[in-house]
Amino acid sequence: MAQGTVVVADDDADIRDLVTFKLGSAGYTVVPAADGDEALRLITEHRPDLAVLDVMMPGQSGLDVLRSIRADEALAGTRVILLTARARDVDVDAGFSTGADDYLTKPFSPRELVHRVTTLIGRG
Amino acid sequence: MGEVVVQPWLLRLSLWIMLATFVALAATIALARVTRRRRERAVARRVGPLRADVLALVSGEDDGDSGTRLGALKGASVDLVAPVLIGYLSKIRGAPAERIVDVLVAHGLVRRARAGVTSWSGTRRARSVWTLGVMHVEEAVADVVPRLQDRDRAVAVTTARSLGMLGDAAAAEALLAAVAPGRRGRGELPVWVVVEALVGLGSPAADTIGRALVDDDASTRAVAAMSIGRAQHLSQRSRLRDLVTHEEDPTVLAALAEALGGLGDPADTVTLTELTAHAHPRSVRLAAVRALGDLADSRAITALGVLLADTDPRVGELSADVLVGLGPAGLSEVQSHVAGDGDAAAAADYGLAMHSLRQSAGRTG
Repeated sequence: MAQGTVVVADDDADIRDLVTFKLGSAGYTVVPAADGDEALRLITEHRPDLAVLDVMMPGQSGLDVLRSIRADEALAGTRVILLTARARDVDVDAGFSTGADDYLTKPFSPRELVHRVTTLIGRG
Repeated sequence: MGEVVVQPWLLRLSLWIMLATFVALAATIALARVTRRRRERAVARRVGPLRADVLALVSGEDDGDSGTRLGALKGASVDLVAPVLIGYLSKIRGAPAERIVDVLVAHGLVRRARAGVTSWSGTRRARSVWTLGVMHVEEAVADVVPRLQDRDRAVAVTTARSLGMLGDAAAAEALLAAVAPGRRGRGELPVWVVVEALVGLGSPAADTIGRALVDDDASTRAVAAMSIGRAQHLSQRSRLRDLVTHEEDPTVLAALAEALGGLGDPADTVTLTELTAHAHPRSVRLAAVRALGDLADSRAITALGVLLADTDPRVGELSADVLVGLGPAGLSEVQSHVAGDGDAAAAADYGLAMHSLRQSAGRTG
């Protein structure tokens, strides 16, 4: 039985496929997106429990998508994890102050990602 | 001087030649794109059947069978899958990364990479040093280090990044030497690449990096200072303080300011405030302003408040911007200057405007 719906947005097909596979194996319904614009469209359409967003993507960045989510009353409750190679303190600060619920830097542990998704969705 | 007359036939011929060249160029570009896409599709088709095993392995969902099947591949299949697995190694960590390394070792990738380090092909040399780094083949450091002086700059850059991943402090001296003039004739290494690599070597490299602060070459001193600050080598703070008292190169002084700020001891407030003096170039003054922001204690806030009235508007504006990022105390310092007039008020207005912009964009930091 599906444990929740997750939109995964990353322009790197390898990462997108990996996260989709891993979360799918953990029982989540996963909706993949290849860029920020598609991510926002799919989030609006599917109203997922959580979104995993890369920060640097073509079109809208992950932070742009996050701002749009937080600015939209209907989507504002969506949990968001930023998954990015940007590991400087200033980037992490920007992610959390924009409204991210969690921040994970690449290289990342797929198992850790599942734990974080489960924890955030479990909080409701 | 007589008038130059161009014969009509010569003009027509030139135009035809230009047109033919343009068409040939466009056809070549189109052909290259089509060929590349075909090749990518062909690779995807051939990798396709193995994709499920690859994903199971890299996601940690492998029950043993996927790794066994991937480890048993032969010939061209290995050449197709190995780059995909190596690509994943730079993106994931933990147990799946270790399993990937096991599969690559089983296919002789380490042996091939070590042999490829001295290949005549620059592409293969770069790929080899990258593979050794991303697979964390620690015993290959001695093979990789000489490539820092490679005649091909791209190989040298990849080597620096590889050494950062390998994390062996023994590479510190070679990395610092790659900044020095000897390397520059063959293409300078970007400073950030060397700094990032040195940071990757961790605390065992601190002393070697600290000793480079007295190197004759200014670029080497600057790289050492930046690395100490970014890696938080607290053991090297006294060396930074010694150098800042007599350093004259503005690039090094700016790096020293950044490093002292990064190490975060409020005792350096006085030194950093001195570096904001007009006697120093603007680059040094601005670096010192940012560093005072990193210290963020009350004395630094007072010093930044004074700089709001600086005659250089950029120094005043940066001071205001840094202050508003320091929370209520810094914000209050800026607000106290708004009511006045002159440089301080203008800088304060700028800082508050930036603060407001960030808040509206969802960034308060």
